[in-house]
Order: sequence, then structure tokens, then C-alpha cells
Amino acid sequence: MLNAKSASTPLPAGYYATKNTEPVDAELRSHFQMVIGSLLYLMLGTRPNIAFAVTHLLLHATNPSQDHLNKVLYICRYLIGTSTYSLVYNGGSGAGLIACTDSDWGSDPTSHLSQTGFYLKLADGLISWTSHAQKTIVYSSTEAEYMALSNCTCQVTWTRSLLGELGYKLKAILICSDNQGSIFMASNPVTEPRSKHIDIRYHRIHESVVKGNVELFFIDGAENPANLLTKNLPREKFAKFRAQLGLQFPSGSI
Amino acid sequence: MDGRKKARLVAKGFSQVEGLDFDQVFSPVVHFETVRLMLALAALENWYITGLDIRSAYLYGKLDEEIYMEQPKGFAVPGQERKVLRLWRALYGLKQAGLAWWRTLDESLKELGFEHLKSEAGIFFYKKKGTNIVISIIYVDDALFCGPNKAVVDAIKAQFMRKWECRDLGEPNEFLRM
Repeated sequence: MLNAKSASTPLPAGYYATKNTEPVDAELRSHFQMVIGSLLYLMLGTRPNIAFAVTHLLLHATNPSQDHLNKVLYICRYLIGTSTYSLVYNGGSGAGLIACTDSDWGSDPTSHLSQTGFYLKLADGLISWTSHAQKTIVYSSTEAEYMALSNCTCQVTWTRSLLGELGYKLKAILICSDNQGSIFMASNPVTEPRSKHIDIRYHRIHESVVKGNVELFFIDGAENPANLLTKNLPREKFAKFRAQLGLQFPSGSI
Repeated sequence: MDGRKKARLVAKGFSQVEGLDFDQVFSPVVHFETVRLMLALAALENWYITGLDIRSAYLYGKLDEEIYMEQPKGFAVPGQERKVLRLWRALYGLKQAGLAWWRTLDESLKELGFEHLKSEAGIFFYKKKGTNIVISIIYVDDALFCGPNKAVVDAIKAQFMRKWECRDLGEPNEFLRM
């Protein structure tokens, strides 16, 4: 494995795993689970760049196919090429807390579920990240983004209270999103025919906006690094966003 | 590995009965994201960081429950082979060992002037008038101490190390293999 050719992205661009319809192969499954278990640990520790790839394949852990196993090994090949990367926090940057969210609407061709991705950044490096398939099927991309925004707000709220306990009084935390509709929904107490079915817990975001704990900010979709947490991107885009997460080659080492 | 030979007495936790031999089994450990949050904060504030690990931490956990154990094979007291042992402190393998250790640790840190945060039970905060703050990040038996003033942090750490048998790790290169 160490001599394997490295891959430039965790998974091929646009790849989605399909459900295995064959009966369970116990040996293959135990091999798959062992590999993905290790990948999961790396992802939770210092590798936000494989978050989508790992959580996506994790959905098939109970009955993986040969293709799924090949794909977790593909992630390993990507990691070999980037093993010297580390998450860097730049104290000199003076960069405060900022969050970014994104979602991919109905992207999974088998389940039709949308993908949520968001991260929190401090000192110019990622401190928290999430990539997961949403629990319910939604009607629009605005709704998918709203769910992501809402989950992100929970994380921001928790981080705020933790820092608050340490004596930090923070102004509104900026959350970036590339969807105007969801920002509008979160900032205004509107109920439209197309959004009235959204579960009440997702509306907690109103409260955070009104209290001034968070502020929502629109950014161009093509410039949203959280995109990396919602799908398998092509090489150039992936490399560009990865650099924005604070994942770097340590300078001066090999 | 460093060549040391290790052996450990482990309790058969799987034979414990819920509600009788144990009640709650969760153990508050620090979230990974909190560790990164604290490291980023330390970078911004230019804090001093130092680490240690606590030797056989679980064995210090005081037990609330009455638990008995068979004598380990080969180590039974001669002539009293039919007796069992009463556990006063936790053993590795016991379902509540993690929680018992955390409670014991929490109590001892309180004596030093620390409080655990409400939003994160793995972060302990030391704040007294007229002195600099110290923050301790604890993951079971791995701990970091950090704060703006090296002398204060080292003094608090030294007090902690007098309470528990620790290995001083100095300025850390890694934490939880991150």
C-alpha cells in the first residue's frame, strides 16, 4: 500500500456509491469496516478534506460491495500523497471565529437525500467540521441550505457559550452561505406555502439572528470552501478549497 | 513500543448487571473539536502549553457500587481460595471505570481551584483574582495545561502532579495522536 500511486482527490469527481444488492460477504465487510474505521478516526482528528468521502461510504458499512472496498482504498491512496499535511492555526493572523455552510440538494442518486456540510474556523484553521446526509428529503435547494444553516447555527451557539464561559464576549459570529433564499428565510419570520412544513427545531436560527449571536453573509457559490464537504469535487476546485481550510504542507519539512 | 513489558489486571465488565453493578456508564471526555478550538485559541493568544499523562488513571476512580471479583488465577490467597475480593476502586474493564475516574478527577481539580465548564466537561478553568488564568484540557488520562503565564501554569501543573502519579510530557508535539 505504501508504494501505491497516490490519488489527487479522496474520491473520483462526482462519484456516488450505489447500494449493494448482493448478500453480505462477511470477510469483505470486516475488511471494509476495519479500513473505514481508521479513516473515520483520521477524519475526526485532522482530516476535514476526507469528511465527505468517508461519511458517504460509511452509509454502506453494513453491506459493502467490492466497489465500496476499492473506494475506501482509493481514499487511502489520496492520504498517502498528502500525509505530511497538517492543520495549521496561525496565531499571527488574528482571525476570529467564522463559519461556512453549504449543502447539495438531493444529490445522492439512490436515497435522494441532500448533503449538509459546514465548518467553523478560528485563527485561520478549521476547528470543527461536519459532513452528513440530511435526515429527510427536502423540496428545494433553499430548504436543504436552510437545514445546513440551522445545524451550523447550533454548533456556533455551543462554541460561543464555551468561549463565553472562558470570559470571551463575542460579537455576532459570521456564517457564510451561498444561498440567498435560505438567508432570507432565516432572517425574516416568513412562512410561505413552500416552507411551512419545515420542522420547528430548524427555526431556532431566527432566534440566534434576532439576538445578534449570528450574522448571515452571502458568498458566491463558486467561492464557498464548504462545498468540499458536500460532494466529490474535481481536482482543481478541491485543491483550491482545501488550501482555504488551513490544511497545509508544513514549511521546511519534506 | 518502547520495550517496556506491560500486564494489566482487567475486570470482566461483561458480567456486570445494569442497575445492580452499575448505573451510569457515560464518561465525559473532551470533544476533538474542543481540543482544536483550544489550540487555535492558544495560538491567537500566544499561550504557553504543557502536557502530562496520568499513570493508570482508571485505578483511582472511587466506586459507589458494591462490587466483588473472583480472585485472579494464580494469585489466590493460599487457604482462602473460595473467598472473593471487594473492589474499592475501579479496574480497567469495569463499565463505570471512566465515569468513576472523571468524578474523582473533577473533585481533585476543584481542590486546586478549577471548575469544569458547563458546555464541555473535559475543560477545566482556573480563575482567581490577581493571577492569570489556567485552562486544562483532559481526555481521560491525557492532559494539557495552558495559559498566558508560564510560571502560573507550571506551578498549577506541579500541584496537580503531586496529587497523581504522572508522566511529564513537557511542551507537546501531539495530543491524542492528532
